[in-house]
Amino acid sequence: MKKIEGYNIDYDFSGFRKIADLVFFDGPFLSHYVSSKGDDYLFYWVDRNEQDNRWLVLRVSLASLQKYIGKELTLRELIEHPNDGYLYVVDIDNSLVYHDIKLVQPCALPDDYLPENDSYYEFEPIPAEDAEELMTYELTIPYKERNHFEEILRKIGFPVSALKKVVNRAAVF
Amino acid sequence: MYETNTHTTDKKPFKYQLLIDQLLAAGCHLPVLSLPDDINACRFAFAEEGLPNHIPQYVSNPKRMLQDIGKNSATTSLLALSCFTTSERAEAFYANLRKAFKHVACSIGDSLAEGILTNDDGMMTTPSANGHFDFYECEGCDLNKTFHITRKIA
Repeated sequence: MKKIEGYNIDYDFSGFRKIADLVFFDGPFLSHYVSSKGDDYLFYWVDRNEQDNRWLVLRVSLASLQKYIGKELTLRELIEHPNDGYLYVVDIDNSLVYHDIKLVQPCALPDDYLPENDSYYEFEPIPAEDAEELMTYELTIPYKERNHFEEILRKIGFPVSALKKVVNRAAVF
Repeated sequence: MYETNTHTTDKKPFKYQLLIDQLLAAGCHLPVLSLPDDINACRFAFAEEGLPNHIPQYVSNPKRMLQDIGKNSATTSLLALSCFTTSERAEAFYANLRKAFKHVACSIGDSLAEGILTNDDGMMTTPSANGHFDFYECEGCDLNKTFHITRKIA
Protein backbone atom coordinates (compact mmCIF):
# COMPACT_ATOMS: atom_id res chain seq x y z
CA MET A 1 0.00 0.00 0.00
CA LYS A 2 1.08 3.56 -0.61
CA LYS A 3 3.05 5.57 1.92
CA ILE A 4 0.95 8.50 3.06
CA GLU A 5 2.44 11.73 4.42
CA GLY A 6 0.89 12.76 7.72
CA TYR A 7 1.29 13.00 11.49
CA ASN A 8 1.46 9.71 13.39
CA ILE A 9 -0.92 9.78 16.33
CA ASP A 10 -2.63 7.49 18.80
CA TYR A 11 -6.38 7.64 18.55
CA ASP A 12 -8.87 5.42 20.30
CA PHE A 13 -11.75 4.40 18.02
CA SER A 14 -13.16 1.90 20.52
CA GLY A 15 -16.03 4.20 21.53
CA PHE A 16 -17.31 4.41 17.96
CA ARG A 17 -20.54 2.57 17.20
CA LYS A 18 -21.87 1.70 13.78
CA ILE A 19 -25.09 3.33 12.60
CA ALA A 20 -25.17 1.80 9.12
CA ASP A 21 -23.19 0.34 6.29
CA LEU A 22 -23.80 2.75 3.42
CA VAL A 23 -21.99 0.57 0.89
CA PHE A 24 -21.75 -3.14 1.58
CA PHE A 25 -20.67 -5.88 -0.80
CA ASP A 26 -19.25 -9.03 0.80
CA GLY A 27 -18.28 -6.69 3.62
CA PRO A 28 -18.46 -2.97 4.39
CA PHE A 29 -16.88 -0.40 2.07
CA LEU A 30 -18.41 2.76 3.52
CA SER A 31 -19.90 2.94 7.02
CA HIS A 32 -21.50 5.62 9.15
CA TYR A 33 -20.36 5.60 12.78
CA VAL A 34 -21.13 7.80 15.77
CA SER A 35 -18.44 8.60 18.34
CA SER A 36 -18.94 8.47 22.10
CA LYS A 37 -19.36 12.28 21.93
CA GLY A 38 -22.19 11.93 19.43
CA ASP A 39 -20.24 13.11 16.38
CA ASP A 40 -20.84 11.51 12.99
CA TYR A 41 -17.97 9.84 11.19
CA LEU A 42 -17.51 8.03 7.89
CA PHE A 43 -15.23 5.02 7.53
CA TYR A 44 -14.21 4.89 3.88
CA TRP A 45 -12.29 1.86 2.58
CA VAL A 46 -9.46 2.70 0.18
CA ASP A 47 -6.96 -0.13 -0.11
CA ARG A 48 -5.73 -3.48 1.16
CA ASN A 49 -2.83 -5.89 1.18
CA GLU A 50 -2.47 -9.38 2.65
CA GLN A 51 -2.36 -8.13 6.25
CA ASP A 52 -4.32 -4.92 6.37
CA ASN A 53 -7.29 -3.01 5.11
CA ARG A 54 -6.75 0.74 4.89
CA TRP A 55 -9.57 3.12 5.79
CA LEU A 56 -9.99 6.88 5.80
CA VAL A 57 -11.96 8.12 8.81
CA LEU A 58 -13.47 11.58 8.71
CA ARG A 59 -15.93 13.62 10.73
CA VAL A 60 -18.94 14.73 8.73
CA SER A 61 -22.07 16.70 9.48
CA LEU A 62 -25.38 14.90 9.44
CA ALA A 63 -26.61 17.43 6.88
CA SER A 64 -23.81 16.68 4.41
CA LEU A 65 -24.31 12.95 4.94
CA GLN A 66 -28.00 13.33 4.14
CA LYS A 67 -27.08 15.33 1.02
CA TYR A 68 -24.77 12.51 -0.07
CA ILE A 69 -27.48 9.89 0.43
CA GLY A 70 -29.91 12.18 -1.42
CA LYS A 71 -27.44 12.44 -4.34
CA GLU A 72 -26.91 16.17 -3.85
CA LEU A 73 -23.24 15.70 -2.92
CA THR A 74 -20.63 13.28 -4.20
CA LEU A 75 -18.51 11.05 -2.01
CA ARG A 76 -15.47 12.87 -3.36
CA GLU A 77 -16.82 16.19 -2.07
CA LEU A 78 -17.33 14.65 1.38
CA ILE A 79 -13.80 13.22 1.49
CA GLU A 80 -12.20 16.43 0.22
CA HIS A 81 -14.00 18.59 2.77
CA PRO A 82 -14.09 16.82 6.14
CA ASN A 83 -15.54 18.85 9.00
CA ASP A 84 -12.22 19.10 10.80
CA GLY A 85 -10.18 19.97 7.72
CA TYR A 86 -8.23 16.74 8.13
CA LEU A 87 -8.93 13.04 8.28
CA TYR A 88 -7.42 9.90 9.71
CA VAL A 89 -5.71 7.19 7.70
CA VAL A 90 -6.01 3.90 9.60
CA ASP A 91 -4.70 0.43 8.81
CA ILE A 92 -6.79 -2.37 10.33
CA ASP A 93 -5.35 -5.87 10.35
CA ASN A 94 -7.20 -9.18 10.06
CA SER A 95 -7.63 -9.30 13.85
CA LEU A 96 -9.25 -5.84 13.72
CA VAL A 97 -6.28 -4.17 15.41
CA TYR A 98 -6.01 -0.50 14.40
CA HIS A 99 -2.44 0.67 13.73
CA ASP A 100 -0.35 3.24 11.86
CA ILE A 101 -2.94 5.92 12.49
CA LYS A 102 -2.10 9.22 10.80
CA LEU A 103 -3.63 12.65 10.65
CA VAL A 104 -3.71 13.67 7.01
CA GLN A 105 -4.96 16.62 5.03
CA PRO A 106 -7.18 15.68 2.09
CA CYS A 107 -4.76 17.34 -0.36
CA ALA A 108 -2.07 14.83 0.74
CA LEU A 109 -4.13 11.86 -0.41
CA PRO A 110 -3.13 10.14 -3.66
CA ASP A 111 -5.75 10.46 -6.37
CA ASP A 112 -6.50 6.73 -6.30
CA TYR A 113 -7.61 7.14 -2.66
CA LEU A 114 -10.26 9.63 -3.78
CA PRO A 115 -13.59 8.72 -5.40
CA GLU A 116 -14.39 9.88 -8.93
CA ASN A 117 -15.89 13.33 -9.46
CA ASP A 118 -19.31 11.80 -10.21
CA SER A 119 -19.35 9.44 -7.20
CA TYR A 120 -23.01 9.97 -6.33
CA TYR A 121 -24.68 7.49 -3.98
CA GLU A 122 -26.04 4.51 -5.97
CA PHE A 123 -26.40 1.97 -3.17
CA GLU A 124 -28.75 0.88 -0.38
CA PRO A 125 -27.87 1.56 3.27
CA ILE A 126 -28.00 -1.33 5.73
CA PRO A 127 -28.80 -0.07 9.26
CA ALA A 128 -26.94 -1.69 12.16
CA GLU A 129 -29.00 -3.90 14.50
CA ASP A 130 -29.00 -1.34 17.30
CA ALA A 131 -28.94 1.75 15.08
CA GLU A 132 -32.21 3.21 16.36
CA GLU A 133 -30.78 3.60 19.86
CA LEU A 134 -27.91 5.67 18.44
CA MET A 135 -29.62 7.70 15.77
CA THR A 136 -30.50 11.33 16.35
CA TYR A 137 -33.16 13.49 14.81
CA GLU A 138 -32.37 17.14 14.21
CA LEU A 139 -34.92 19.93 14.53
CA THR A 140 -34.09 23.52 13.77
CA ILE A 141 -35.63 25.81 16.37
CA PRO A 142 -35.31 29.60 15.97
CA TYR A 143 -32.86 30.76 18.64
CA LYS A 144 -35.29 33.31 20.12
CA GLU A 145 -37.85 30.48 20.59
CA ARG A 146 -35.49 28.17 22.48
CA ASN A 147 -36.78 28.97 25.97
CA HIS A 148 -40.38 28.47 24.89
CA PHE A 149 -39.43 25.17 23.24
CA GLU A 150 -37.59 23.93 26.33
CA GLU A 151 -40.58 24.85 28.47
CA ILE A 152 -42.84 22.72 26.28
CA LEU A 153 -40.41 19.81 26.53
CA ARG A 154 -40.32 20.05 30.34
CA LYS A 155 -44.12 19.99 30.44
CA ILE A 156 -44.22 16.71 28.54
CA GLY A 157 -41.41 15.26 30.65
CA PHE A 158 -38.75 15.15 27.93
CA PRO A 159 -35.20 15.38 29.33
CA VAL A 160 -34.01 18.78 28.12
CA SER A 161 -30.43 17.75 28.89
CA ALA A 162 -30.65 15.44 25.87
CA LEU A 163 -30.78 18.57 23.71
CA LYS A 164 -27.59 20.04 25.14
CA LYS A 165 -25.48 19.37 22.11
CA VAL A 166 -27.96 20.92 19.73
CA VAL A 167 -28.40 23.98 21.95
CA ASN A 168 -24.63 24.39 22.14
CA ARG A 169 -24.28 24.05 18.43
CA ALA A 170 -26.97 26.66 17.87
CA ALA A 171 -25.18 28.98 20.27
CA VAL A 172 -22.04 28.81 18.14
CA PHE A 173 -23.91 30.34 15.25
CA MET B 1 -34.58 -30.64 5.58
CA TYR B 2 -35.03 -26.88 4.90
CA GLU B 3 -38.15 -24.81 4.54
CA THR B 4 -37.99 -22.71 1.41
CA ASN B 5 -40.44 -20.15 0.08
CA THR B 6 -41.56 -22.55 -2.63
CA HIS B 7 -41.48 -25.98 -1.12
CA THR B 8 -39.96 -28.25 1.45
CA THR B 9 -37.22 -30.45 0.18
CA ASP B 10 -34.71 -33.01 1.37
CA LYS B 11 -31.37 -31.43 0.73
CA LYS B 12 -27.75 -31.95 1.48
CA PRO B 13 -26.34 -29.90 4.33
CA PHE B 14 -24.87 -26.54 3.45
CA LYS B 15 -21.15 -26.48 2.70
CA TYR B 16 -20.51 -24.36 5.78
CA GLN B 17 -23.25 -25.91 7.92
CA LEU B 18 -21.21 -25.85 11.14
CA LEU B 19 -20.53 -22.14 10.80
CA ILE B 20 -24.16 -21.45 9.87
CA ASP B 21 -25.26 -23.38 12.97
CA GLN B 22 -22.88 -21.26 15.04
CA LEU B 23 -24.49 -18.08 13.69
CA LEU B 24 -28.02 -19.41 14.21
CA ALA B 25 -27.10 -20.22 17.80
CA ALA B 26 -25.89 -16.62 18.17
CA GLY B 27 -29.30 -15.32 17.11
CA CYS B 28 -28.77 -14.83 13.36
CA HIS B 29 -31.38 -15.97 10.87
CA LEU B 30 -31.16 -17.52 7.44
CA PRO B 31 -33.11 -15.56 4.84
CA VAL B 32 -35.88 -17.15 2.79
CA LEU B 33 -34.16 -19.42 0.28
CA SER B 34 -35.24 -21.12 -2.91
CA LEU B 35 -33.74 -23.56 -5.38
CA PRO B 36 -31.85 -21.98 -8.28
CA ASP B 37 -33.31 -24.30 -10.97
CA ASP B 38 -30.32 -24.01 -13.31
CA ILE B 39 -30.22 -20.23 -13.26
CA ASN B 40 -27.45 -18.47 -15.21
CA ALA B 41 -25.49 -16.38 -12.74
CA CYS B 42 -22.31 -14.37 -12.52
CA ARG B 43 -19.89 -13.31 -9.83
CA PHE B 44 -16.83 -11.12 -9.45
CA ALA B 45 -13.59 -13.09 -9.39
CA PHE B 46 -9.84 -12.76 -9.68
CA ALA B 47 -8.40 -13.65 -13.09
CA GLU B 48 -4.87 -14.27 -11.80
CA GLU B 49 -4.19 -17.93 -11.16
CA GLY B 50 -3.56 -18.79 -7.53
CA LEU B 51 -5.81 -16.08 -6.11
CA PRO B 52 -8.74 -17.51 -4.16
CA ASN B 53 -12.18 -17.35 -5.77
CA HIS B 54 -15.67 -18.27 -4.58
CA ILE B 55 -14.89 -18.24 -0.87
CA PRO B 56 -17.31 -16.51 1.53
CA GLN B 57 -15.90 -13.72 3.69
CA TYR B 58 -16.30 -15.50 7.02
CA VAL B 59 -14.56 -18.60 5.64
CA SER B 60 -11.55 -16.65 4.43
CA ASN B 61 -11.43 -14.78 7.76
CA PRO B 62 -13.03 -16.84 10.57
CA LYS B 63 -11.80 -14.36 13.21
CA ARG B 64 -14.03 -11.75 11.67
CA MET B 65 -17.07 -13.96 12.21
CA LEU B 66 -16.27 -14.37 15.89
CA GLN B 67 -15.72 -10.65 16.26
CA ASP B 68 -18.99 -9.83 14.49
CA ILE B 69 -20.81 -12.27 16.79
CA GLY B 70 -19.25 -10.43 19.74
CA LYS B 71 -20.41 -7.09 18.36
CA ASN B 72 -23.89 -8.41 17.56
CA SER B 73 -23.34 -7.57 13.89
CA ALA B 74 -22.85 -11.05 12.41
CA THR B 75 -24.83 -12.08 9.33
CA THR B 76 -25.24 -15.40 7.53
CA SER B 77 -24.88 -13.43 4.29
CA LEU B 78 -21.10 -13.52 4.75
CA LEU B 79 -21.22 -17.34 4.55
CA ALA B 80 -22.85 -17.05 1.13
CA LEU B 81 -21.51 -16.03 -2.27
CA SER B 82 -22.70 -12.79 -3.87
CA CYS B 83 -24.10 -13.37 -7.35
CA PHE B 84 -25.97 -11.40 -10.02
CA THR B 85 -28.69 -12.56 -12.36
CA THR B 86 -27.13 -11.00 -15.48
CA SER B 87 -23.69 -9.82 -16.49
CA GLU B 88 -25.12 -6.39 -17.42
CA ARG B 89 -26.39 -5.86 -13.89
CA ALA B 90 -23.16 -7.13 -12.38
CA GLU B 91 -21.12 -4.76 -14.53
CA ALA B 92 -23.37 -1.80 -13.71
CA PHE B 93 -22.95 -2.48 -10.00
CA TYR B 94 -19.19 -2.90 -10.39
CA ALA B 95 -18.92 0.38 -12.30
CA ASN B 96 -20.65 2.22 -9.44
CA LEU B 97 -18.39 0.57 -6.87
CA ARG B 98 -15.32 1.53 -8.89
CA LYS B 99 -16.36 5.17 -9.02
CA ALA B 100 -16.35 5.26 -5.24
CA PHE B 101 -13.53 2.81 -4.46
CA LYS B 102 -10.78 2.84 -7.06
CA HIS B 103 -9.00 -0.17 -5.54
CA VAL B 104 -12.12 -2.33 -5.40
CA ALA B 105 -10.54 -4.84 -7.81
CA CYS B 106 -8.02 -5.92 -5.16
CA SER B 107 -10.87 -6.62 -2.74
CA ILE B 108 -13.60 -8.37 -4.73
CA GLY B 109 -11.93 -9.23 -8.02
CA ASP B 110 -11.16 -7.78 -11.42
CA SER B 111 -13.20 -10.08 -13.65
CA LEU B 112 -16.60 -11.53 -14.27
CA ALA B 113 -17.13 -15.29 -13.83
CA GLU B 114 -20.28 -16.89 -15.20
CA GLY B 115 -21.90 -20.27 -14.80
CA ILE B 116 -25.07 -22.22 -14.05
CA LEU B 117 -26.32 -22.82 -10.51
CA THR B 118 -28.05 -26.18 -10.19
CA ASN B 119 -30.34 -27.39 -7.41
CA ASP B 120 -27.51 -29.69 -6.35
CA ASP B 121 -25.21 -26.68 -5.87
CA GLY B 122 -27.23 -24.90 -3.19
CA MET B 123 -29.97 -22.36 -2.53
CA MET B 124 -30.43 -18.69 -3.33
CA THR B 125 -32.08 -15.61 -1.89
CA THR B 126 -34.61 -13.63 -3.92
CA PRO B 127 -32.73 -11.32 -6.30
CA SER B 128 -32.96 -7.63 -5.35
CA ALA B 129 -33.82 -4.81 -7.76
CA ASN B 130 -30.20 -4.58 -8.94
CA GLY B 131 -30.05 -8.32 -9.69
CA HIS B 132 -27.94 -9.24 -6.67
CA PHE B 133 -28.61 -12.39 -4.65
CA ASP B 134 -26.78 -14.52 -2.09
CA PHE B 135 -26.01 -18.13 -2.91
CA TYR B 136 -25.64 -20.62 -0.06
CA GLU B 137 -23.56 -23.55 -1.32
CA CYS B 138 -24.45 -27.14 -0.41
CA GLU B 139 -21.87 -29.70 0.60
CA GLY B 140 -19.77 -30.72 -2.42
CA CYS B 141 -20.42 -27.54 -4.40
CA ASP B 142 -17.32 -25.98 -5.97
CA LEU B 143 -17.93 -23.07 -8.29
CA ASN B 144 -14.27 -23.13 -9.32
CA LYS B 145 -15.23 -26.16 -11.41
CA THR B 146 -18.41 -24.76 -12.94
CA PHE B 147 -17.90 -20.99 -13.16
CA HIS B 148 -15.56 -19.60 -15.77
CA ILE B 149 -14.05 -16.18 -16.15
CA THR B 150 -15.59 -14.53 -19.19
CA ARG B 151 -14.02 -11.07 -19.15
CA LYS B 152 -11.97 -8.57 -17.26
CA ILE B 153 -13.96 -5.63 -15.91
CA ALA B 154 -11.29 -3.61 -14.08
